Amino acid sequence: MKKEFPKGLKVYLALIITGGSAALYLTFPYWHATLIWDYLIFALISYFAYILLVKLPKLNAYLSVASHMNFAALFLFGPFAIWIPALTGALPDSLPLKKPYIYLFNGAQFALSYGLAALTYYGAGGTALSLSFAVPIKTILPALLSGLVYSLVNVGLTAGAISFDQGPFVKVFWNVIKWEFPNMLIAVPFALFLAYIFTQLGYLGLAILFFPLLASRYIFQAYIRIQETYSETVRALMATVDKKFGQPGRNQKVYQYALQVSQSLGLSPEEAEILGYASYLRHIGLIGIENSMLEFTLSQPIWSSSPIVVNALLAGSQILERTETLKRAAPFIRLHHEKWDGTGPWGLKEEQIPLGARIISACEFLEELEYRGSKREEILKHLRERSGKHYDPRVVQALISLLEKERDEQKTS
Amino acid sequence: MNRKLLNYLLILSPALLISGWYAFSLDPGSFLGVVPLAVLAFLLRSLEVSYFGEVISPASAVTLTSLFLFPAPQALVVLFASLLGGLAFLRFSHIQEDGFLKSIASELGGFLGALLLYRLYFSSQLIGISLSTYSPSLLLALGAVFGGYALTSSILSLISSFVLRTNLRDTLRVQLSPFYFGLYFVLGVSLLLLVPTYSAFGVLGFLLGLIPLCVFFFASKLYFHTQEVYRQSLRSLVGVIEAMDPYTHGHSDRVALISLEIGKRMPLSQSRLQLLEYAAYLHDMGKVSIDPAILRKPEALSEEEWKIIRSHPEDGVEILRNVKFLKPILPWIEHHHEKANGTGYPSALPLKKIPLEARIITLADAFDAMISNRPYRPALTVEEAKREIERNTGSQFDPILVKKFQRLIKKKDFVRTLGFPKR
Repeated sequence: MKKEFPKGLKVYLALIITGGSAALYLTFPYWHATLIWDYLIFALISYFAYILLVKLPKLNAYLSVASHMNFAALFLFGPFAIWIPALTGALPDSLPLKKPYIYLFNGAQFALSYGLAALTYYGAGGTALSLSFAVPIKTILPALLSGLVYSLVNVGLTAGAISFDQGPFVKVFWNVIKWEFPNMLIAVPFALFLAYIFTQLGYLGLAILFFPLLASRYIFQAYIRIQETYSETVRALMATVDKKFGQPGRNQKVYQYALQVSQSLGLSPEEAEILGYASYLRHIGLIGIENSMLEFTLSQPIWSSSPIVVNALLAGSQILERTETLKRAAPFIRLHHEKWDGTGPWGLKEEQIPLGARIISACEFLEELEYRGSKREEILKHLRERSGKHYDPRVVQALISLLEKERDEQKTS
Repeated sequence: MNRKLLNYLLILSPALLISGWYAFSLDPGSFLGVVPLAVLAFLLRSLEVSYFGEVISPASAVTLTSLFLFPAPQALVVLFASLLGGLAFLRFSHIQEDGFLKSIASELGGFLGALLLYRLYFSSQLIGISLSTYSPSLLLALGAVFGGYALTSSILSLISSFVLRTNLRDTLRVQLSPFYFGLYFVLGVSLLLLVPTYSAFGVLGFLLGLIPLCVFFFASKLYFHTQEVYRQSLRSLVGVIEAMDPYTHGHSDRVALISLEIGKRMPLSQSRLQLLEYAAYLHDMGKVSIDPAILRKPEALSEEEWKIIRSHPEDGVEILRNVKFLKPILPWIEHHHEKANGTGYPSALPLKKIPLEARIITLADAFDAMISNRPYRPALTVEEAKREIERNTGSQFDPILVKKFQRLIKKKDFVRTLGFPKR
């Protein structure tokens, strides 16, 4: 959120915070002094679950038992349990407490959504499991209903806040809720299961149940480390190639442009990853060219179709074809000197050229112009001239709007 | 084993099962209760992970649960479904067929081991295990039966390595690695809760209880797969160096192979061996910065040119310095041209100060260079190269490693895997 705080948003925040406080106030009578240790331990577990969440690779999703713990507490200890997420769940997002209103909003948002979930659960006939044991089957329906209410309220409140600066409410709401519903269908029964295990085995049961999840977290991290190592290795290799050509940092630049274009053209994260590798590794084949030839090669425009360069691209793509993941980057590398009108080295034209190759070639051209110190107006002129001749008009358009956005940002700052 | 035979077995086995039932005149109705578990065991085989040839899947948790809660014939059906699942998902997983045969043996063996201990513990009487009867002694019993399972399945896996002529020592090293222990440990801990959960809540509760275990196996599968992808990518990325110099075609591959074989004969852990393999692939990385004209030059090199070539171990370290995970292998790359008598480069380290892995790579590198053609001389034969290495033992090479190497080179299989004279 920027400096100018919309007035509507202020009112909205105030409303939610008041509502949340009211929910907390109303549930306070359900406090049981005997359960104080359970409240504390559940709060602790829930807090750590929020911190220790795992970002699932390639999916835009997180793995955390925090909401399961909160629901389990709700089913076990009565409505007062909504104090747990209200106090702890909001913390990790808002630490350090520089902007207290974020903490207040998050806390109130949790209090409201869990509060209404509690109202649903206990209103529909659910019982506090640790206080009076009930038949599992009778609690399932109220629990599922409360999960439904929770996700509607929770997503609604957050979408309400976000929609003040990120577009229409319905769209934001729908984007989140379509994942939240199926998630809840598993999360609520799991929370109920957690609660039953707790009534039977206490904290030992929770420990046994959570152990594989903790181990998974460890493995997921190892997995992410390997992925990082992968891209670090590729980058290290590329930095060396750049250095050898005496042009450090150029690959990085092309990589950044390619990534931005892929975003504005709406490529999937996976395609963007491949494109990233391709833009890093596109000139790897040049490594085999002897230094005496290299000077000549580099003195020409880099997008040339001289046989030495074309052969080098071919050699580079052949090397990558032997690997499982980089295989898909190989055609981008081989064909990124093709031209939109079919006058490139292999004579492919328009859509025959893979999109990745088209993106890289235009980004490379832009970088080359910048490297030679062309002014912004010249660059734009060159790009427009070659749009539809050498380069894909869509890609050029994306680059131009990118440059214009950059300029606007420079002006304001 | 060919695919046709596998498919054939897959189709045939239900028929075998049904005729088996009738042959032993078992009441088919008594098997209905175990059907959900059998289906689960079948499906969970898709989350099987293979850790260097040792195969583990969450289906074992289901099989063992059925052993606790059903009579032996019913539990056997679940085991059978799990084996069938292994067969069915074979084509989707990254498991080799040898690994599949091993997994059959270890599953069967583990099941029998568990059954035996179970009988000992509960004296052939089915007891009601549920959450309310949960006690330390039940925990202990569950633990003991699982221990029996883990032990016998590991032993059977060892035996099948022997039968399949893979190396016993390699299997044992994998089985003693923390990762393998970890996989079994998580499986065992989950079982403590899964068995009572099934008897308390039935299949639906059991499904919920399985979620954490499945997440764990999913993560492990993803991790091992990515590790393999990384290894392969390193392998082909170093192809870049080889493209600079036609004489070194396949060099990194062979150095990795030889280093790994020597490394396996030294007291190195599984994770260390893995790093050794990476280092062997990357040992000549520094050559990227050298002018290819020097590498390809058939004439003798000038002093200036030698200086450039000699800088490649340090250049390699410089290139990889920013890759966090590869930190431990940097000294191995830096010192792979040191000599035992302290006259190598870049640091002229005495034998005792050269890292073991660096010494291994030195030996493998030198051997491969000897048996390859070079612009200035033709390749030596394996026998000649061996003699050359023996002659330089103590001056260039570590005597202990040379001894291991001599034994390695005696194996005909090994020399053949190197693919000489030219692929």
